[in-house]
Amino acid sequence: MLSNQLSSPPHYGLPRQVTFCKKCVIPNTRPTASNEYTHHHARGHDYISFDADGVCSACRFCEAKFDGTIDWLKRENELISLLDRHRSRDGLYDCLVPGSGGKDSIYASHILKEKYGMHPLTVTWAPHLYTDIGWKNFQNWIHIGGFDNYLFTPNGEVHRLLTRNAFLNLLHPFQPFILGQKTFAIKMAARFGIPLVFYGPSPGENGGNTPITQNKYIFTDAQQASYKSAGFRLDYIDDTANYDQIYLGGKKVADYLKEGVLEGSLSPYLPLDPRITREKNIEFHFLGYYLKWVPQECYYYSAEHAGFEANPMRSEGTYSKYSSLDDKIDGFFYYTTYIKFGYGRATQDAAQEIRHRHITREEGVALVNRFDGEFPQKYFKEFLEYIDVSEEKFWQTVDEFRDDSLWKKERDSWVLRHKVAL
Amino acid sequence: MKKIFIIDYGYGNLFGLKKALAYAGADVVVSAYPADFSGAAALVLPGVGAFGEGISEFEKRGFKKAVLDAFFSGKPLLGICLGMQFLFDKSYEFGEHAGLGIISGEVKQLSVQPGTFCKIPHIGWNALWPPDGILYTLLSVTRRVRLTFWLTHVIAIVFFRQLFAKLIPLAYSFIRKRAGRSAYKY
Amino acid sequence: MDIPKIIRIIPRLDIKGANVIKGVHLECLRVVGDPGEMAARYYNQGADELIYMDVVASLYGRNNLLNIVEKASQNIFIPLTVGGGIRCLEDIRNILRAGADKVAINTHAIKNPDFITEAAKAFGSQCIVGSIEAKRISSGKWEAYTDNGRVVTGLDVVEWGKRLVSLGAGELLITSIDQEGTSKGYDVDLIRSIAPHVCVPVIACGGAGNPQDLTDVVKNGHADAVAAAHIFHYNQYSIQAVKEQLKDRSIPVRMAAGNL
Repeated sequence: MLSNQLSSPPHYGLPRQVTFCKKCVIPNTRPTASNEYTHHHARGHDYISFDADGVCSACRFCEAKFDGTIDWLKRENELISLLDRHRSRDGLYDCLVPGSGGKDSIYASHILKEKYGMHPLTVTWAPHLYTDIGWKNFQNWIHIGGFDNYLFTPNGEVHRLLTRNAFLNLLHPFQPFILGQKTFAIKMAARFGIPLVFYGPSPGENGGNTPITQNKYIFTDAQQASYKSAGFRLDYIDDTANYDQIYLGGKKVADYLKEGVLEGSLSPYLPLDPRITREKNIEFHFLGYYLKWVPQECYYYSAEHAGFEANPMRSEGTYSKYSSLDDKIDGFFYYTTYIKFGYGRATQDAAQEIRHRHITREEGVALVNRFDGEFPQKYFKEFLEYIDVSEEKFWQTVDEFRDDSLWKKERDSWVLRHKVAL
Repeated sequence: MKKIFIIDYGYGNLFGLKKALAYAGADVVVSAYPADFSGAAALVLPGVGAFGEGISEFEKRGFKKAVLDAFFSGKPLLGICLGMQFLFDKSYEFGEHAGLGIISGEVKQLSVQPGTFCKIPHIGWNALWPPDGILYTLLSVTRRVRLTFWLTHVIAIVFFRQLFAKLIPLAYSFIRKRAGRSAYKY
Repeated sequence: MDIPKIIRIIPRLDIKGANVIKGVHLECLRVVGDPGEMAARYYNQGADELIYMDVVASLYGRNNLLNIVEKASQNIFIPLTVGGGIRCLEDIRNILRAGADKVAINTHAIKNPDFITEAAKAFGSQCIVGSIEAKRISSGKWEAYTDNGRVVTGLDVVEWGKRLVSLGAGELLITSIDQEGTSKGYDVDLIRSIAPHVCVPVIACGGAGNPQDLTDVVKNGHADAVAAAHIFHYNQYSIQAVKEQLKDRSIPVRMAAGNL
């Protein structure tokens, strides 16, 4: 079943009133993940929830990590039981860690190996365009951290085509990458017969509205199906779905096939038949459910154990240097989010650091006001070449996706109506 | 207990100096008023900064006459850093400026050649030869010695019976006490 | 008479708000202690000087170290250098009045180099430390950064260092972004490329993992002083232990501990 198709002006079902979390700096326009296979036009989303005190679900989630609500000893014991059931005796892979060689995947894979005696296989879906620092960190993950790794680089022509369509149709150039990355992990788990897959933090940490009690991704028919998070189901497509109902980059798969793209070329992006997932009992656990997840500590850990290096300079659109470094077009993921939902990379970084008590809200606000929405100029040309779009067309598309309730024109520039304040 | 009077003319690390002296057991007064001198057993003339601006501020606040009077009437006087440079006839830092003329000499910039590993300012710790008198108390507070960029080049030392301008722990150039010995210089 | 040049050992405390933090490559904010307590500890262990660096001042556009500096100077009688977000003469005056002896300036010096000359004229060169955050770009070449290693400037570090000195800086503090927080040793080449060519003391910072690293950067890098954070903050070595080892390797250091 398709989601609501809305009339032509963007209107993503944004909250009528834009407010900012009282504790961090995230606005209530932060969308939760949705089923991207049915995403074919600007459409309504679900958004991060705020409670009666004006505090967002991500903040409440993180509070629970520190205030004694969670018994971490008990959680670790749960992890140990889980791992004991899977740990291989002969050195074969007993768990799978998808990642890029960033601080999260380094931490997850390394701690599973060193502290808990597992034999992880690491798998990577290549970034669109590797940055130097990204490649270096990826190599160090393998050579210094010490892991077997399968790097999958999708057919460049196909990937560019999908990315271009995703940009033009959805202003979401990263959609194909996100889809591919997720399904790749499942497929590799199935191929290698590794039923245990670990992601890092739970989606709830950043506003995915996941409860703190959830330890893994679930199927629709599980008991927890009552909460609405369409993006976290393993069975992204209905049993009866056909290619007229599945979209990649906002375009029907059937249309791609009509235009001569081979079914096989698109298959890396399509989900694994959920029956196989069920048959093989593949489970995606959040390591952050079992071990207290602090992104900053992942950075220190990665630097110490795998030679992870921060970006030489701050990433565009933010003040930080330690996350999301490996793709030259990363900046456009954050920038398009800024256009559609009114918050950028600095907001996300600051919100995370506030929740983990590294910075105060006041400091976060200063950082957001200084850096949020900065245009990622450095790789702009390369991005345009990658998706084969002219600069004019780029801006035209960007402007089409601005929502009136978020943006207004002041003289010749676009200005956000709502900015976070103290 | 005898009071030590620190002259506040707007330049100098007074806070640190006061704490150091108090730590060594002195009864310290910091004052910007020359009229308060009379109660003091000794005067300390501190200073950080450029000579021209410093001495002009010092004089504007009426300290020049007060200090000279006090000194010539027998009060011990300790000059630290810029304050020590004030005791001489003249300085050539950013122009030519007259000092108090208590010690005959001029303050000139040291010149150093790059590549010689000779560094100015000399910033570091060195051993001290302890002097005597009231100043020993001050000297014993720290044994720190530092040279400023402007080494005081003593052309002649005038021997005062009771009093010698010297180098103290919180300050910068070191001059030997007795006439006839050469100034300590780099 | 012969005066040996004593190599100063200087613990560096990166400060954010009320805490000492320690990053890696000048990134992240792990809290490691209280500034007052740590300063007192290092003073008692025989540190020759201390550096307080407000690492977020430029980034957040504020400075608020004054209280911390005042508290430190109550009980600590070794020179204190304070840096982070210094933008005008009034900032310097306030910091010195609070009890600091020297100020370290980076971001604002790059934005407005004349500020260094103004500051040297007002307070004396011995008080003005030119602080450089250096990132290697190729063999023998480094680029200067500002805002706690975040913003690239395009300036060649060696040229900029020399220029800082000619503008009036009385000392240079050179931090290697590549090495700092890693405990893999100083960037000796970086220090060696500057120290012999300037007439002011050079303080090496970034990467100390053990006393041999300090020896190395002094003997081969020609550093006049060494700053370190990680090895002291994480109690890997005491200052006395470090000094003993340096002394054993014929590097002159001040052996008397703490006060007097």
